[in-house]
Amino acid sequence: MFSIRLLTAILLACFLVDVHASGTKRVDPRRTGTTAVGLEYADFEEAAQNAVNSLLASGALDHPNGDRYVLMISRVVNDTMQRIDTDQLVKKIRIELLRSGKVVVTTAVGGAGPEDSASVDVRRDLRGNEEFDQSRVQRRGTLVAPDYSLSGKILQRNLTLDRGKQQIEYYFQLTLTDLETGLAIWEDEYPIIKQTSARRAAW
Amino acid sequence: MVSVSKRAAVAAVGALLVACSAMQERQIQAVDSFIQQGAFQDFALELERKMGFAGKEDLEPVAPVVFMPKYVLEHLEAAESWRLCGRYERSLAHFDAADAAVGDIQANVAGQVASQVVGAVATDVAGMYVPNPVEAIMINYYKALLFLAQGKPDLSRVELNRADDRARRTVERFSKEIEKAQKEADEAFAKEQALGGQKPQGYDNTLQEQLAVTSAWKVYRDFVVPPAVYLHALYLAHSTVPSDREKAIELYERLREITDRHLVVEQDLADLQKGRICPSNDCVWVMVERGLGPTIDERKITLPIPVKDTTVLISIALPEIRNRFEEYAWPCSIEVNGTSDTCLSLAATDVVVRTELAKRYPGIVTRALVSAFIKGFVQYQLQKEAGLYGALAGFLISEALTAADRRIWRQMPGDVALYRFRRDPNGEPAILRLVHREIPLPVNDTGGMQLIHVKLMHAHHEPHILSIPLTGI
Repeated sequence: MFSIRLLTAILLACFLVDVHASGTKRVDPRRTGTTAVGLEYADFEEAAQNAVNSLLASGALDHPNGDRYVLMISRVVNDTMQRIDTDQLVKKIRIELLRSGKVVVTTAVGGAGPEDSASVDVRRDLRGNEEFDQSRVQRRGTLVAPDYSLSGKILQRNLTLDRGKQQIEYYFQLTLTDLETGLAIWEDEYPIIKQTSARRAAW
Repeated sequence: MVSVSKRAAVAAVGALLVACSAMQERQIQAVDSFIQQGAFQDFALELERKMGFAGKEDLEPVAPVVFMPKYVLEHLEAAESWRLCGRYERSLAHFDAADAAVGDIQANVAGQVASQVVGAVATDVAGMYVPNPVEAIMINYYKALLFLAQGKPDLSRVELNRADDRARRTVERFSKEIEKAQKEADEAFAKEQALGGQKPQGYDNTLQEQLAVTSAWKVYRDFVVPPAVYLHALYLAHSTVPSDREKAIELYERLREITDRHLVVEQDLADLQKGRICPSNDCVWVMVERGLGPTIDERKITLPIPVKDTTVLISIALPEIRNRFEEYAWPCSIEVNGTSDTCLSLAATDVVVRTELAKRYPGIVTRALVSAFIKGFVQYQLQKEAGLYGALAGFLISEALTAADRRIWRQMPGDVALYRFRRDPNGEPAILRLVHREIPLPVNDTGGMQLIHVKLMHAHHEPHILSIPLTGI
């Protein structure tokens, strides 16, 4: 009898261990402990946070009348060996900048055309369309032109080190351009450096 | 009874030797047969079945591609076959799998395969296939082409960066590879008690004799894969990112030295140095992949190895590049604006592959020789302990275990020829004359710059053509 109980307990313990070991668990993306060769969530988070802190601290977005500037997102070039969506970085920066209350972002103008192209098409299509109450259709000349443009580049450089190691360096480079003057009024660069075995492909 | 067992063992080893050699030959012939017939879809399906992505009766792959390191060569052949059938998504999936497999193999297996000298009895073909650097770079080149053709220049840039990084790592590896092989040789000899921990007599002379072979090879001064470098340079030359221009110039300058100042490379470079590529904004570039790339043959050499009071015969097998492309057999010209002009070769693949092999050759020969000398001692022991049958079995085992790895991606092109012209203002068509074929080129009549990529491996095949707008980069 004792041995049956013991056996059941052991089997139950084994089952629970197995479930725990094979189960999927959520992780804190900022505290995974390990890092990938490529760019991951924590890297974007860190770069975006640094960019926003630097930009806000520079005073470039402090409007003299306390108003908000209109920002357009230009092109962020992915010059790495990683297939990444640069929108992931841009989105985080936008969210933080909007939260700061110093800028609003236009989706009607962008580096690769309007980000929300449907909204631009709708304005055009509804105008003069008898099916719609024209008093509620947006008039011409109401879109707000941007004051600033945010552009950037993500670079990757790989260096071979001694003892079978390689260093993979990522540089997040961002520039804020004043569209009135064409001058870059803020620029910054955030390196993310990783080391791994030289045998591994750097992507 | 004992002698019957010995005879049986000798016969079994002999049979194994014949069977292994015949199987490798049959597999190579089967691949070449599909390619010769231009049966790319059948070939791709056959490979999908082998990898388990399609059932025996399936006429389409039924499972998504997942990377399988042991099938890296199959991934490569399937990728290019699907590309030539116009099945670009499936092709990209296999190219991606091959890319991942190359990374995985390099990280986990390449070191072990390279260290076979420590075991000293394993054959080169026993290991998993490790794609050579030319093949690895061509994976990224084809992916870059496909992404450009699909209007995804950002993804194309990623692939071109990867190709560039692979070339850099390869060059860095060459010097380390030679040092590593030498160190392994010293360690292997030191471990071998039969040798008294000494480098055997005759080893150094034999090594020098074998290394002298490479002096007759036609090679480039540096290791580059010109089609990949050219595509990268052309891409950056058309980019709207200002800093790309400098990198484009750097790549063109690297190419001009390798390619004997190819006319198109010179034109592109001159344009860039003046400000921008093709200022008239009406240029069309044509890249033509002609014929079949090289294969690898086995050069078997029998060496008399001095062991104590006698001499034993041991074979070594070294890889030898066999060219399958002769430029004179593939005349190429382009007729446009009422004139006809020759498209000149940018690079012959056999020279590219041989350049890479020449750099690695000291390592390969060192490993083969160390292995041969140690096998010599094993054979000597067998001869001493088991007499004539022992000697014969030893010789056959040594033969069976001595084979150069003849595997190579067999759909690589013989060469890549290049031409650049200005679009006819009256919209007259441009014709590519390749061997006896007249191939109308799909020149974009709406303007803008364009790259047309053509591949023809056998003259009787239908050419595969990709039209790539060089705008929006």
